[in-house]
Amino acid sequence: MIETTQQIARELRPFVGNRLRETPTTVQIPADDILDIAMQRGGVENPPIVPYEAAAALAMLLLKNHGMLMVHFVGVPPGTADLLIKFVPPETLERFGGAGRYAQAIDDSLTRLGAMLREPVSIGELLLGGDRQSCGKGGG
Amino acid sequence: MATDRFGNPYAPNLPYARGRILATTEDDFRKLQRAWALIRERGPEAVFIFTGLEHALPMSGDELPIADDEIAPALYFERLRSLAFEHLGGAPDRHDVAVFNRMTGATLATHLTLVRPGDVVIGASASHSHPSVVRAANHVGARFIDTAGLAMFKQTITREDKVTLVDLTRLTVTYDLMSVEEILAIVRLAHDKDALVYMDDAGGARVGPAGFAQPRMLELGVDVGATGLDKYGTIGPRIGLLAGRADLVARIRATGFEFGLEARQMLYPAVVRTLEQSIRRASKP
Repeated sequence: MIETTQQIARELRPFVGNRLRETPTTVQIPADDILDIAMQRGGVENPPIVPYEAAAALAMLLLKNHGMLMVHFVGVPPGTADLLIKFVPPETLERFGGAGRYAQAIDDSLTRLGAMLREPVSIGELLLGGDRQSCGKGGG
Repeated sequence: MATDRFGNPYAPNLPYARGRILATTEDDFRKLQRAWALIRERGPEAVFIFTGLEHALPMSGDELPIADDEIAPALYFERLRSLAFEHLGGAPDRHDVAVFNRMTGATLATHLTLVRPGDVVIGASASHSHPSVVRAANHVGARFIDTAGLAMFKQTITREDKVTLVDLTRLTVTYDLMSVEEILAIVRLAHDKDALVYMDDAGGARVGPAGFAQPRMLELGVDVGATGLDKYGTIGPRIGLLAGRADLVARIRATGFEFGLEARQMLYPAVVRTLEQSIRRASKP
């Protein structure tokens, strides 16, 4: 499973460069970098959301458009805001379409997120659906 | 106060800032409901689980009749205890085992039992303690100080007059692994200060020994520790397995029962199964 994670890292690096963080067992894109990359791709200068929300939106886009369920959805609240890729089962990766498709899905979702940053209301709808009663209360 | 790259201050007990959309844990649950809606729309067969965790239930149909909170523990607890010792490096004559619903349950029960308001608790890891550790320490009214690396830990514990508990994490949520030398030094410094050591060994209990030839959790000299049975080399379910000094485990287990943090005992056969296969996998050359 560590080998499959490293395969994904190799495929993902061309898309995100040195923003990819690797440990011996995982590959990560820090939440700050997720927001940064999306802002660049969307041509947005001032962040309308925080990095945690960017990471959440990325995870939701991966689920919505590619069927990828990431660890972001396990913790309530998550223990980290970063995108964590770890212990990827080879059989699941093969069924999905391989490491290349995995990396392309992340690239595609980062681009979609960039476009959504130009219309921040759409990010609220993505994350919470139509019912967004608590939006606007507090936070950083 | 820590901030992210954009200058947003981190939320209490979390290593990131909250925003206006996901402002609270209540919002996180609503986000989860949104994800569930997407899973329903796609259908389970079109969802690829890339969490890196094992959250299924490894029980067969013929085990369901004994999946009962009174029957299953009668049949499986002794086997579970024995396998837990093997998995975590414990000894039956001085250690004991308790099963919690999650790592978070084990961590909270430990702090509820061992820490009083105003006590000093120090977190020790390669980067930062998991939010569940910070939250547990804060919940019981401790003065929690988080440290990264041996040097910072040493400086901190030396400065404090009295330390009640050290929360030591082998493998952090950032997946930075602490070396055995650092772990042993931290345990020694803690015990020299008469502090107990609780190890958050959620994933480290398997990644450390299997991936990096590190000792098993209780072989590191910690007083008590817990691991998550949904993590790496297991087959689930999501359970917090706590083990350590028998006198401490007895007290922590009692707290767990009193506050409803214990695992459902009907799941003990699944715990036995996951431990059996994990031990089998670890013993393969």
